[in-house]
Amino acid sequence: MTSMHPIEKKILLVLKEGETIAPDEIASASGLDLSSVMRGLDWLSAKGLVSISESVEEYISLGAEGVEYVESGLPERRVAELLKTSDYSTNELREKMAPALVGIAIGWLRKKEMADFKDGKLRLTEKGSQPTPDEELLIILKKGTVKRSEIDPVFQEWIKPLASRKNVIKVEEKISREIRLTEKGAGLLTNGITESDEIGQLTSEMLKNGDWAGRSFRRYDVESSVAAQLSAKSHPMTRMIEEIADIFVSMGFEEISGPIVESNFWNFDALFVPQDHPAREMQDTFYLEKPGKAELPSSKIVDSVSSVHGDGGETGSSGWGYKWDPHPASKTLLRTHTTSTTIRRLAEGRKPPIKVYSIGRVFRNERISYKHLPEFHQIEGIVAGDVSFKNLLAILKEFYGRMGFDKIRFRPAYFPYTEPSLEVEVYFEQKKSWIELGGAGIFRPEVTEPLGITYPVLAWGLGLERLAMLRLDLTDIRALYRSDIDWLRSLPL
Amino acid sequence: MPVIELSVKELNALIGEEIGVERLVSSITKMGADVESADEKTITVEFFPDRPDLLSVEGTARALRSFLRITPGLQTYSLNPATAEVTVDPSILPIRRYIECLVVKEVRLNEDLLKGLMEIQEDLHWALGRDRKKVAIGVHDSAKITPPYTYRAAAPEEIGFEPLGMPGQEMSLSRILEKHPKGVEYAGIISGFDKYPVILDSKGNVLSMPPIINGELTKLTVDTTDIFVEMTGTDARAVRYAMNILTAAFAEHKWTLSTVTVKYPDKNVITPNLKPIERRLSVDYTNRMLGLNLTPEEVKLCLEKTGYGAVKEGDGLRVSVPAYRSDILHDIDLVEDVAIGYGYDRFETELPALSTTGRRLPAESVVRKARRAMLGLGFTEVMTLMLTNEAVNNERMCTCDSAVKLQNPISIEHTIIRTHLLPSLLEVLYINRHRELPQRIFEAGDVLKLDPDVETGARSVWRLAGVVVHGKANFSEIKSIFNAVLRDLSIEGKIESFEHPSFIPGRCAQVVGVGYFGELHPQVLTNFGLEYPAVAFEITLK
Repeated sequence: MTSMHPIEKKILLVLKEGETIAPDEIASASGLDLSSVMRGLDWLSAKGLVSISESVEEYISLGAEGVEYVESGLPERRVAELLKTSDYSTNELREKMAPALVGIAIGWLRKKEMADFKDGKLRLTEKGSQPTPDEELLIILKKGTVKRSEIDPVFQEWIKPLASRKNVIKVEEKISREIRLTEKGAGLLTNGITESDEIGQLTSEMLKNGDWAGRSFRRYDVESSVAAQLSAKSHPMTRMIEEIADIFVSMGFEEISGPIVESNFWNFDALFVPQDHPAREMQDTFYLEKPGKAELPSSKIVDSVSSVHGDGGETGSSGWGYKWDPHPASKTLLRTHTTSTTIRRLAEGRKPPIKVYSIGRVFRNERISYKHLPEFHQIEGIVAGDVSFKNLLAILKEFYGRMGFDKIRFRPAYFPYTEPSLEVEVYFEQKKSWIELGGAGIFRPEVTEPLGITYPVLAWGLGLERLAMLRLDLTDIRALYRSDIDWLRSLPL
Repeated sequence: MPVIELSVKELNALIGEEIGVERLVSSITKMGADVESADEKTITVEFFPDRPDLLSVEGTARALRSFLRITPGLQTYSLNPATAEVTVDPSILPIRRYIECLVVKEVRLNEDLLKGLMEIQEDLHWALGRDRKKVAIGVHDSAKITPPYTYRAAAPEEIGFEPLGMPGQEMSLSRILEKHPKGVEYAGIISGFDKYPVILDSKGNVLSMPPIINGELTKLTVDTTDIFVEMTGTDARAVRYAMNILTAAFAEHKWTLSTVTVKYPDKNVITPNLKPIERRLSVDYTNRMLGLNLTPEEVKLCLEKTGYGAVKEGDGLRVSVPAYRSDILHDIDLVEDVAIGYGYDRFETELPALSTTGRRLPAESVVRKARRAMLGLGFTEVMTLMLTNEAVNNERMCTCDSAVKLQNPISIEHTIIRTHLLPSLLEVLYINRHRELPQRIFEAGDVLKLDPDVETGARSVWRLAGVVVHGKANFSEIKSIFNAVLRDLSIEGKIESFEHPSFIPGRCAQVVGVGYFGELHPQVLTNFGLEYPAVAFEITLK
């Protein structure tokens, strides 16, 4: 058997066979502090050497108001005293006593049948002139806290009404524990326990003077519980961002970032979103009062975007068939997607192949709920060069596979700036279901060609929060940004 | 996006074959739509906004007939030549110049069809009409009216009629705009003009006041057998597609359809025109974009499966695009339908052979280093929103930073973008006020500063901020933390006294150009509802 801790030994030495004892009594008899006693008892009971029986006992004591009432009498008693001389109406009483007290007093006078109304005046009953049991109970409590079980049965039914009055009495539950030696414990005691020479805590002294040599070390119960220690941690979203960035970088992608305050132009116009598209409306997009205006890019780019919206320009598209207005294009907004960042990069006119990704915050005019936040993270990747739809599917398989989703499927979807477009669904093992986890497609020629790009550009994106909720098994998206410290520190890395 | 409920029974009746629910659902998904739910009776589908032609049981049935290869290829519908005429008066041209009309006979309606007809109008108003601005639709019982019709502008008090939903109450045009619910809702479209659009029959009966409301006179009932449809708008293309989509939907019921002659001041136009639009599609381009190696014949089959007519022509295909397909702007749109016809699930995938090197943003390495430093010091990372408000960002902090400000905030909580990180950290401390002390938290994130020299008027700045709260938090503690952070990040600089409104005077210091630290002012702590001393620092990461 495991060797015993000194605390356990000290406790056992205090116990006597066939007797029960409370933990505080053990503490004073053994010289241990109460928390050590409790810990030691835990271990002993786990070893089956002692048995602990717990019982809940209610203790009753006077509250702040109660203390005062014992001195000055309950409100109803004070009124009863007045009524001894004459009957009074409520209004008359209000002149003699604090009106708030009159209300309370009348309620209880009637409940306790101490008085009744006659001709609009309050009249003392026979009962009313005698002290009531609750008053007597208060006087008993004046002496100090009393166990409920020790209160005379006559008063028991009066505890509840007194407790219903604010701060008159306090009823507190206390757990009392009785400790008894088990047969096994008694046997051990009979065999004799002494405080031995075993080493508990190894000390610096022992190491310096070699005291430890030749002595034995007390064996610890390695299964016993210890205090919880929570480590400082990075935020789970940061960890996911790092994981995803690692995947992109290992697949040969370069990270890019772009402005959060964007122009209508880069957020919508450059992506061939028509100027009357619903996504641009106030209820979907946060527009800015400050700063109100952004600079537009070179007139070469603006002109070609303008004509592609109108009649398709040189792209072979019919365009949207309206006259594009440059005025709203410089209006500022909070970017609604990070595609504005990737499209800016494409407009820089670099030579293919291009493989870039970005992870950043985006904003939508959404009311906060368990499902939606007005601000969230988008992860986006693009591949440009001699590539095709078939390659896009392969990259997505690879990317999601590395994120731990081995089963993936694609189905047609619609986004204003990609064609063909698709939705990615992954099989989420824990939930045993297919979950939509991002959109993808090839940028439309109306998007790429005005920027001078003549090769296909594959693009995909997913929402980080959605993924985080799946991984962390959250049903409320707000938990991610609430930053409950205990939650953050308890999550596994 | 528009969600519609499809009756399985109606769908099968229109398809002309009994198709099981499971097969219907899988086909609709493969065609490109989100099936939200399905049972034996009803399939609820969210179609994509670029396909208004699918937004009806008729349209879906037509697409399924092709996709299931029951009748693949172009679906043709015949129209009888026009007998009715509409005269477009010059007065209407500056207001709402385009109109297309259709006559339908031998109509058999029931409650379900009436409801479906309402829904498709609503969906077309939304998808193509941009809330009736570009297109407004009126469907009338034509037994009550007498052609020829006139489309013109009328003065606000010139004409009165009983608007739909208010029988017995003849109202002037201006009164309808003020009093009728639809008038109130859509007044904005025409209220800028001194005259309003009306369509009248030869006897002066008002059919409708586009884009606001029809007359009660021509209201449809289950007994209606003859229908007159008019669509008006400001965008010829949108009006045309909306009319073609509705016409094709009517045609699915095998009702008798006739065109209408629209007499503009300068020309006559026969509407609707269901003649397909011819495009030439290169097979090579298709294969290059998709990464496939399809023969022209295979491409043709894929196109026919998605409802197009296609014939081989040279090294490509001549494709007949149905007149109701408003989404075909470019060859790439046909390529997507080839991919859908082929089946997304049939693609063999292949990684591209592109040689590139990967790298993180240089800024990220500084931020990562900062995180490591803070974790090493026992700080837990938190993440907060960049959206905040003046009260939190400035008033409670006793600061007065100028911030990026929203024009249309959705709540008073979120009206600006943060200019520093400490306010959010103090909010986090408040949330955790009942948790065990001491608490050490940090955030590394960006804030926005207004900057007229930047193209978009604002600049992102990476910041790092940390805060410690417990009963004895004091200046020396935060100073030693601050020193440790600077050392870990290899930042050099001289610590000097600093007056910052968020900190206790005389207990705050800074390194110029880097950041500041100190004991937070009791007023600031109180403003955030905190009841223990807290010390904090915030620096800019470069």
